[in-house]
Amino acid sequence: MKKVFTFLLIITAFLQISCEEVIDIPLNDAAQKIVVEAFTSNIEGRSYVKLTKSSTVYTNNNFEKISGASVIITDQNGINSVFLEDSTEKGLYLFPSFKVENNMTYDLKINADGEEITGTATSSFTPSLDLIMGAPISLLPDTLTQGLEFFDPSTRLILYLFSDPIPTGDNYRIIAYINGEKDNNYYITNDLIGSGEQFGGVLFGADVDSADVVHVELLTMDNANYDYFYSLVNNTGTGPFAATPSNPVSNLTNNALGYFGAYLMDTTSFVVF
Amino acid sequence: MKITLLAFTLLLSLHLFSQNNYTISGNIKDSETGEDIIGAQITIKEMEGKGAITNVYGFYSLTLPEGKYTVNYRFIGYKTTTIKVELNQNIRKDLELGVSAEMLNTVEVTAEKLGENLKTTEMGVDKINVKDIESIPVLFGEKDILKTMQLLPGVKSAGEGNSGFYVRGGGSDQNLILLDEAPVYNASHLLGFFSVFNSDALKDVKLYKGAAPAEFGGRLSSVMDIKMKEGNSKKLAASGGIGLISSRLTLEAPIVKDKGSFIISGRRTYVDQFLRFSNNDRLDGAGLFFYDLNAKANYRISNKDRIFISGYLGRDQFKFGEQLSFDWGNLTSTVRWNHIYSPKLFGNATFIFSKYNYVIGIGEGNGKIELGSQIQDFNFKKDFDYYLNSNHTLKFGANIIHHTFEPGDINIGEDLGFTIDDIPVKHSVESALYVSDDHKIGKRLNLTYGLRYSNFTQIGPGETYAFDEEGNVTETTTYQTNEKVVAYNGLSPRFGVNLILNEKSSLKAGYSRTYQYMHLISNSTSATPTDIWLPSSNIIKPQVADQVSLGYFRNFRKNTIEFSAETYYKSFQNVIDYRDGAEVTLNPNVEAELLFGIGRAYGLELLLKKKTGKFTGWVSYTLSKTENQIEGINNGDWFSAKQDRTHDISVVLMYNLNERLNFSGSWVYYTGNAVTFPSGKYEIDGQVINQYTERNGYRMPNYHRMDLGITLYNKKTKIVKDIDNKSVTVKKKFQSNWNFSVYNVYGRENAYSITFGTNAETGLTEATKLALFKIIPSITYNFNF
Repeated sequence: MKKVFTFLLIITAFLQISCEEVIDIPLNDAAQKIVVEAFTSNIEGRSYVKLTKSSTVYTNNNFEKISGASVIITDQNGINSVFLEDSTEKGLYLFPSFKVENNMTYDLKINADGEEITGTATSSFTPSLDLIMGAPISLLPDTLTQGLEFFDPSTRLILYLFSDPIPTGDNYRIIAYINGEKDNNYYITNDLIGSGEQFGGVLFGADVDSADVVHVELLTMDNANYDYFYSLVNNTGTGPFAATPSNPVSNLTNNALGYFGAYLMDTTSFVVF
Repeated sequence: MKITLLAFTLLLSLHLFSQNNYTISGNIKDSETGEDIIGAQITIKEMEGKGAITNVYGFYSLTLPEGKYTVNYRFIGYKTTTIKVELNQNIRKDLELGVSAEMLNTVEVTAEKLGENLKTTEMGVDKINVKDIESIPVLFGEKDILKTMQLLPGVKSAGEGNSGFYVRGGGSDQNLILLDEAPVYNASHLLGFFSVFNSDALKDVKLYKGAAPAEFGGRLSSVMDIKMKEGNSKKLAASGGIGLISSRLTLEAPIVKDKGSFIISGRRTYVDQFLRFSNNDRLDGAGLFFYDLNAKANYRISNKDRIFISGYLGRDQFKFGEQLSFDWGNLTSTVRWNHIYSPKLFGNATFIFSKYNYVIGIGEGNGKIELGSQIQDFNFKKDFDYYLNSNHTLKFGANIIHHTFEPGDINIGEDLGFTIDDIPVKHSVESALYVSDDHKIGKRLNLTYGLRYSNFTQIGPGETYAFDEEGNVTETTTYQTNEKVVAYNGLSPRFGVNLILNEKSSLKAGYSRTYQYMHLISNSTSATPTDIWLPSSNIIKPQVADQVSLGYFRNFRKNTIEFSAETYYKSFQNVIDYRDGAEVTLNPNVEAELLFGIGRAYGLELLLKKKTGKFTGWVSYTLSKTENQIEGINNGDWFSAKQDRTHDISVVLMYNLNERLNFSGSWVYYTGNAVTFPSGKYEIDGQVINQYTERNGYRMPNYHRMDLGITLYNKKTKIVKDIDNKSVTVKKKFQSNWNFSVYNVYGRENAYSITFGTNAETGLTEATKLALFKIIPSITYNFNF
């Protein structure tokens, strides 16, 4: 994050003399693939499976939804939960009372368009937020705002703190909703560095104003899910300093795109100061 | 041990031939500055085909049968000196060559009958005399040897305005860049837009693209051997320049006249001042600059001993107020002792220290967080040149390097109330023994053969990990200080042959094997200061390359025009790439993110060069292909490496209209880099994500650009009356020139990057091209006295 931030400044100096232009690049059309977004959690009603199809690059963004699929999640004790297609939204599969338990392995099995896609996800422990607040930088504790002088002191930021247990191997993601609208930035971290410490930071990119209502989910996930989101954030772009792009590392079989996650989360809501 | 033995048996067997022979040896210097002349040619009129060339310290040695000889000393741009000797004992002949008079008045370099390129077995070698590139137009008017090298065949730029380079399909980390023998680990400033080499302090640059001599090792693809000036040993001299980006100042003077001298050269940029003009108010507290400092001193203790001390310090510093800082740079120092053991045996002992590091600082005082990384070397070398007789020149030596790698050094201020462990430090020892022989057989056949044995041992303290398929640690092994962790050995044969077909042409062939034990870990497509070096380990095997090359050399018009055609085929083993989505920065288990495979590169390089006259320059063309095959990438199929470019053309022309005016121009064209673009898209978490089907399956648009420059010299000479009241022309003490240049004259918007994103208005995906540097004019004032 800091690395990117620093480079941005340096690059900005060069961009004064650079220019951007939309150009025509002919691209091949990849074969259509099934896209799975299988999000399950310990919060009742916050689990869903979305099935869509990929499209070619220059078509519009109305992606085809897959109806009539079979979606079954089985836990390690052999209990099946059949997710059923929502009556109002095509391609959305739900099981309203489904809840992820701690330290449990789940198998996902999807039959869609004559293809079988499977995936496995393991839950760990339920995290808890020590502190989360939204306020102008000038009002945040000094020790937590090092290096933020780049921003105007009146800029409002969301600050979080949570404690990581001592064993290494935990992965976290924060999802934020601002006035009910999902913040499209990904906030993910692991404890390979700083295991057992208190983790704190700022949700850079979450654009908030005074009196905004913010809802936050802090969730834990397995390594495969961390790798998926890490590569989604870092490897799908094509910017000047980006890594060679590739598809995110999926935990699904049969060349499907997307992910299956079994998350445990702590949620809270607050009003920005 | 076996190799030493081999060297001795070779020496013994060769000794049988020498009887009643004597040696002429000595040093060749420039008469005006006292600088050693590298590569001056010594020929014997009475014995065609016999001769010698001065080594990098200006030393030569030639052994001939007893007799009377006429000896010619030549170097391009200098007056040829001829002496007569009666060789009935060993003779020491030190000589100073003067710049030819014509050069002063007409700016025309004398056309020498050199033909050097035809005679040596060296192929795939590019030499640049720093003086010769002065007028080539460059970005922001910053003279840069690395960028000039990119205009030669087989050498490719790493990107727009970038000082990084690729040689014959190798990666930018496969070039061994030596500054006075010290390896420079990160040769670029400001994200690669400038190289760390300040041309004012440099004398000579040699790039080996093919079979490098056995004395060099440790990198796969090339050796760039850069020599700093020794400093003027005759008188105090100063030179400098003021440009758009930086100012430079160099001072040089004798310590004791003709015995020792020093040079000190500095350069500092003012890019930070640019930020002040930026429209972005938030950048007001920002500072960004780099500087370089080169210093060197040498002293001749006796006519057999000479000491050199040289050093380089360069840093980039970025800061934002007191709160955020980022600085990085290299430090190298070299101490050398030349000793002439006998007229035939020249030895050099070298001690080298080299370090690259970066530090990112956030916060201040006790609340500061510092993240850093560094690599540090202690290096000892002993090299010998043994001029056995006029048919054999042997080189042999040994080298040992201790490397310390600190991938992540993390310091957390005490006020912050927590600590984070550093990423473990790694230690290793790299050692090598080599021997090679330049062997002349008759007048037409020259051979060079050599062998280099190298060993790389990773030593404790430290831990090694074993990983499973997903990259999770399955096993940890702990090692004590100096305990062997893992060791690799490499035997690199080098072979070159030159068959002189006739006075005008020759045919050359070469083979070499190279090993690389250190690997640059960088997941980004551009060079960044945070790239780290890692040693070979239980996971990372040494990279190996084999190269065969074949070349035809032909000179025209009394050797004033050189033409060469070279082809090569190279195969690589243990090529490193990354798992999709690899996490590289500050990752203690970064080795688990690596994938290994093989590579191949082949190509044809053509060069037509005019070296003398009013009109000089060259045209180069490269046709090449570079591919890799790595399990886990592109379904295990061969794919084009990012540096794969089919066509690469450079034209460089310089024209000296008269003594005051010089025009120069260059034009480059190359096929766009292989690049990965999306072939589909899909939606995840409400966001549109690109879908990729193959690695590097697309091409960036073709690149071309023209640069022009004019150098206007203030009058170089003045007319004075001599004692007899006659008017004579003398060179002025104070010389200066203005250099005007335009980068990208016709404003070609070459793509620096292409990004695919959704247009907010239309909701459709579109490709956006970013072009840097549209038309960049610049002006530089240079002086020397």
